[in-house]
Amino acid sequence: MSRYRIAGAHIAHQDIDGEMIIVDLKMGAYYSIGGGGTAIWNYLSNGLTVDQTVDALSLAHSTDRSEISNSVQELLKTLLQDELVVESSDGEPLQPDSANLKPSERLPMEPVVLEKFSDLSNALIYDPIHDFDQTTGWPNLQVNPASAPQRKAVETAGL
Amino acid sequence: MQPPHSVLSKAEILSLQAAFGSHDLARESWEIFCKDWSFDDLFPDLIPFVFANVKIEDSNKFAGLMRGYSRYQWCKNQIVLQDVTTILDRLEQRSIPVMLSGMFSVVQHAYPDSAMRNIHSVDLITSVGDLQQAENIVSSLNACLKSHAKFNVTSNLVECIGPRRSQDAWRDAVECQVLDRKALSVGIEDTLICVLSARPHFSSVTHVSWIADMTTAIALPYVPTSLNQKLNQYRVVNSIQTNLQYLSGLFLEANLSEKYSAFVPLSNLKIGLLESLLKQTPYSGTLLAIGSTLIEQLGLSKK
Repeated sequence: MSRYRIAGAHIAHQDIDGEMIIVDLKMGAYYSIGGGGTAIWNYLSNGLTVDQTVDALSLAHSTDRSEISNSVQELLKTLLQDELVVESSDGEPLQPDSANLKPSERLPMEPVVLEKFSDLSNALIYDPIHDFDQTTGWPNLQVNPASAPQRKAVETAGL
Repeated sequence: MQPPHSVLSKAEILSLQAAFGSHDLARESWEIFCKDWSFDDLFPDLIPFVFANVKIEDSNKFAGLMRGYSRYQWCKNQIVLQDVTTILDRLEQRSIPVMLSGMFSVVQHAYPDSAMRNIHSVDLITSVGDLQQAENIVSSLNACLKSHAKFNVTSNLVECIGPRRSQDAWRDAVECQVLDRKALSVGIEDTLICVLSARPHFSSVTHVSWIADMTTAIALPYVPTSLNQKLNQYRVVNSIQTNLQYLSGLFLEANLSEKYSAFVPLSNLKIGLLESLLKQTPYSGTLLAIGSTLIEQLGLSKK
């Protein structure tokens, strides 16, 4: 069963208040992973297999296991396709912390939200306060959409 | 200075006590003070710092923009770090030892997360003998650097603390991580001594961050003791130590005092004592500037 790790030092990531933001410094791409995707990223990038990730999330959430599995597979597919993570055979995997959760504490897993901005340098050109959507903030441009960074939003609904 | 800047600096000082967690006092104060602001009143460099330290409800009108600005600053910092690794790699190829210093050193040592501080310049310390070659290398790399940060190559550690102490600073340099590589960084104590030895260039734009750096660094639990040890090694006059301890105590007191007291002006007695202490030191100009700025930042005035 495959494990995964972050593809290299050129992939930097940071949890900002529950949202995982990732930059690929080689490609100049920016990603935002929200909802249930943050936990999936944490588990997979710390060496858990897909099954272990699904197990951990199933313990923590009341959502149907098959739906969780679909979300994990779909996000992993994008992470591998964009070379944010790669298969790995080394390292000790992170131990999931949800094993002691009682069923009554489980909540449905939030939908996985993945946003990609393929041109980070372009997004950094604009005024980070005035040129961006007041509700969502940088890098969601609000003016002059013709010159907006290439954006590809993927939302995995249903969880 | 605009009133919101003053309030932000208070919020920032308050947050130190919480050791970068969310603190009830800071949270409450933030909600009270930001309600009448527009976003243009905020000091951009401090936004990620406040966002990381103060719980801001999603309904808050600033929440989206603050989150966005935090993302923006973190991304910009990653690009600066990438440039730093490019420079360090090239200097290493030429066998030029280098230490990261100044603001970068403070960020590495004192801030739990580099996203909290805008890295708009990076000081690279070399020995005097390597200075020219290092400058040439960094200049030659300008075209391939991706960030807009300023990279300053300098040997001014010698100018700040003298040649012998400069050797001590090299000996006491600490390893830090810059993306995928290790680097040497001037220790926080030597950084503070250098910063205190050189009069900061206060302006309405920079001094809020400078105060944030100083208060953040001095509030680290181990710093007052190790800073004193270093000052003793350097045989810096006792009054400097006294002042540093006093300043450290002042910052901590501002944080640890009972609820709301941090927003109550410190007593005139304390202001007078601070000024008196500051005037007694050989570095009175610098420390007086710090003290005056603190007094201004805290909105204090003598009656």
